[in-house]
Amino acid sequence: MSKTDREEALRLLNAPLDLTGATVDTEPSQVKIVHSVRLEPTASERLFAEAERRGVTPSALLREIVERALAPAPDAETTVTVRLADLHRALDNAIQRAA
Amino acid sequence: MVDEYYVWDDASYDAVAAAGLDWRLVQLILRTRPRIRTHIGAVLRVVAQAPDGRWIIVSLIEQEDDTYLLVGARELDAAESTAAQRAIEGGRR
Repeated sequence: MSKTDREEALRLLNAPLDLTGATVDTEPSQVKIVHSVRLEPTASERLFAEAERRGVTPSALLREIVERALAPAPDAETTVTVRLADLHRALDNAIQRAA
Repeated sequence: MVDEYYVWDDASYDAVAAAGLDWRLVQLILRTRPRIRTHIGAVLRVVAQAPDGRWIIVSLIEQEDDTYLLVGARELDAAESTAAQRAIEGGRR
């Protein structure tokens, strides 16, 4: 996609409506959204580093982070299993932030 | 059923807001049926009626098969809305 394409799309948007060659859709389609997000360089670097550490792509990691952030909060009595390394890391981060 | 991907970036939300529209409305318009589609080169325009009766046009760029970047949207004026209504009614026959 070029800058020209975007300019053309905006020109056509603001031009008087022309329905020449238009078709009418009545059948539903499966709509999926691609969220394009710009991150600050430091956030990007941290994302890359964590993705590399986990052996996943940055996109897969972003998907996981978003799904986790939006998941319903577990019941306080729920038992969860975490990796010991992740627990240590979380504790170290909390201690550093508190220091 | 065909999968369609709509790409929203920061410029998409900015353009929708600049047109005085709520992004949630534009998301709804893209899912609405019936709708009118016109392809001109890489540009796809979608027209559909919102629940409140307004007719909205959305302009997108095809990035790859069935994947479209949202560039902007606006409300149709009265004459355009009438033309859109007629097109929908004609398309249903």
